[in-house]
Amino acid sequence: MFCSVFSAALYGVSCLKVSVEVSVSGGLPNFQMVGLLSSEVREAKERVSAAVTNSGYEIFSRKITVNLAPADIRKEGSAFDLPIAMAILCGLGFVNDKCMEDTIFVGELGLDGSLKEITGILPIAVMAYDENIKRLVVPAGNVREAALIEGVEVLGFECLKDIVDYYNGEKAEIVVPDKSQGEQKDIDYADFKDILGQQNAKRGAEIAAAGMHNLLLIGPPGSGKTMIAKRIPSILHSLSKDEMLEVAKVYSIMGMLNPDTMFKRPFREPSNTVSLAGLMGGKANPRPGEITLANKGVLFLDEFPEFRRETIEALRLPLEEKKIRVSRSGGTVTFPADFMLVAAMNPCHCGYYPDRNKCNCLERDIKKYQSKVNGPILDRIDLCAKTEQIDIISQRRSYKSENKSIIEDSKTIKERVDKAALIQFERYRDKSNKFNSGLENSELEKYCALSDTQEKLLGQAVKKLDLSARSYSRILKVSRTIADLDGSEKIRDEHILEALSFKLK
Amino acid sequence: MNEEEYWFFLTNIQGVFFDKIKKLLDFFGSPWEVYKADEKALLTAGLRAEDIDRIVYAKKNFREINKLDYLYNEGIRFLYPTHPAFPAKLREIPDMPYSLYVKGNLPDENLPTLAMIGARAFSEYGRACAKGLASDFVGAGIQIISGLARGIDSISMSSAIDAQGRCFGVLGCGIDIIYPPENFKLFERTLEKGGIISEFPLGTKPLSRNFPFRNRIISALSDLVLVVEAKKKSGSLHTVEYALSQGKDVFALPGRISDLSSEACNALIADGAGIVTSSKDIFEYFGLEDKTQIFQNKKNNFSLAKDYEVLYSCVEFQPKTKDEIIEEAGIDYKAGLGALIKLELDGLIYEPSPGYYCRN
Repeated sequence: MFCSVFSAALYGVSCLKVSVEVSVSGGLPNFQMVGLLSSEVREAKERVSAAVTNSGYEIFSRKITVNLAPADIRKEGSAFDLPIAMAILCGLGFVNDKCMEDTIFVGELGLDGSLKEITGILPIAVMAYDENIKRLVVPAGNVREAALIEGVEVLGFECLKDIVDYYNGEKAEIVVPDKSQGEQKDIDYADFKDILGQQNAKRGAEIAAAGMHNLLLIGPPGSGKTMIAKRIPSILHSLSKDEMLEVAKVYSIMGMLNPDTMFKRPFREPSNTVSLAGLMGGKANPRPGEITLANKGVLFLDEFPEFRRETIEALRLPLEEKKIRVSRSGGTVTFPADFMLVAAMNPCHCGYYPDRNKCNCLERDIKKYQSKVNGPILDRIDLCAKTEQIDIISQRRSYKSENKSIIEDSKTIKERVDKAALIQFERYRDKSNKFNSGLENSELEKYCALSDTQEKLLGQAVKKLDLSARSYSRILKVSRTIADLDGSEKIRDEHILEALSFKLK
Repeated sequence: MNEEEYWFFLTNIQGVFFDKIKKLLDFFGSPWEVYKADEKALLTAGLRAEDIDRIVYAKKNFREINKLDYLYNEGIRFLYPTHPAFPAKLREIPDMPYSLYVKGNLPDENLPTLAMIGARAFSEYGRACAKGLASDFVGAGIQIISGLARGIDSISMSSAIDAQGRCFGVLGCGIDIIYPPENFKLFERTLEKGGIISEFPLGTKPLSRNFPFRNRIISALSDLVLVVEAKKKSGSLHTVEYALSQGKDVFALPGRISDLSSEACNALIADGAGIVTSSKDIFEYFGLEDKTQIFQNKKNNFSLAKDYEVLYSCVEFQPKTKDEIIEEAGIDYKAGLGALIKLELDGLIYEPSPGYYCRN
């Protein structure tokens, strides 16, 4: 007897419908699985037969052949246990296969027949929705995640026997999603009000957040570069539902999705020893790397000059294209990588220049250190802000004695950022790019128009401050963002001057 | 062989340096006597066997060692104590060098000569003062002597050259080696009006032990030593010691007591060194009157808008962060950022390191 049920195979961040076909026939007893399977899928054979037997169904001595179609795509992961078991049970006549049309089964089986959670449920649910599949049968622990996609009925089960009972019309325990979830809740971010002083870095972060500009923080060790960077997600414009799903899909694949914090902008902080594959994404079957995990959020690279040169160089393309193509023997996969880069560095090797009481570095070494991040990557960073060593005790004292409201919290800053973001969305409504940072050079004239005197001012500045032609357009973009923060339609002189003060050397 | 060749031979024996040359000269009296001496005579001079081997080897292979033709072609003069052009000021010191390689000119013995020395890791204050003072000095006709090292040495020299002055570098390596390599340009520019001097044989690497030793030449060639900026254990203090033992006066540039980079300078002043509060102090020392002095801490004689004026007054020679300056000036932060850029564009202040500003 032949039977087939649907399941799903992950590939990159997308998903393919796979049909699990089982043929049960007479002949010498045999259990065979085909269909370009990875070793964990091949091992499913043992798990499935034990789970089926232990759930109380006897596998008679038959010749059983399982095929996972399409046969030319490599199948990985443990999600195929359940569909294989269901197809076999159906082939053996324990379940009526008519009920199982229009349903996708995914889940890992324990030897006792229990169902275990799998990763990557969200892309599977998205695929189910796109393919007009009505129902999704998943392990109970995956129900919440799967139910994020509306329009697909999600059924969760604790064990294999419950599923069979359910399909045979008997009483079974079903876990159904709680409808109230998936709403945006207040998100708990680290707040800017924790930071005393640091006006320059705070203002830099605000401008960067408003226009999604990449930011470089320079300051001595322990001056709060990481603190600032960690708080940037709290002032970024809130995620839209579509963006949230895009982010959540990736986290789902990595098994890192927490439905409670789904609307949080990601913050990723890979260490400087990160491998190229770890940052960009890779492995034989490509998995998302740090830059994809930082999608729609902040990628923070602390001690920027300590990163390997090829690592830094590799960031160029994703920064430009906002996605990363990973080519492996299995094919090419595209991952999203629309992140805001926040890099942090010390001004010199010891970190204290120009405080000559602490720093003994020679000028040549300082230049060498700073030039480690020179070149093409700096051309993609629009702003450079400075964090400074603050005298905590005196700052605290003045903070306590003066009005507490002088330190702005993230909410106040975010209101300004949101306003600037809305202005940008309106201005770029016909474009794929939504922020000032993504302006093409050809668009600068249209959106960042300057008066003749302003042109002259900027021209003089570029000459005097020895700025490159590229930094000219960066300053224009940042000026545009500052004007947007100000609610000004035109870029004014003060906007240009402030943008210049965040220039990169 | 002539006298020059004998001296070249004596000062270019591999492994026989200053102390051993001195010993040989004390015993034999002159380079040709050393050249003529056989192994037995050398042994009686109290030399060790390996040194004798080296001398004998050098004698045998003098044809190869002799680079005088090369020096001539390169425009390098080889001077020895009995050479008429050998600086008289160097003959006076007890540990006089036995050879000098000179590219370009030697300091004019009739002109006031000042050694400007200081730390390799300098502060912005040190940079500004070295630059401003050096330029004033050469403008008044003072020659500058320095070590062509990184930091204050290089800053003083390049500023002196920019002001069309004469300056001279004394090297701690062979004259055919440019060290530090980034001073390549400065070497060439020094030769335009001044010169480069080394006592070390060609090809001598810039070993750390050579540098303090050459400092005695720096102090000997100058009339006065000015320490611009030095930490407690700075190499500049070697030069000061040599200067004092040679009977030269020492001046130091005062710094703030909280700045480690001026610690040694302040200590020197406390010990009785001259103090430089403006270039005038040096002019007076040399008896140069009515010389134009550009570098001084004067009140601004240019007018700025009020906010800019306040802001500018909060910028110092020592780097301060933007936040500090704006907070001190007490003006609106965003406007302050813009105003600082304006001041930078006007050339009144500059940014030595991202986020910091100094007075120009």
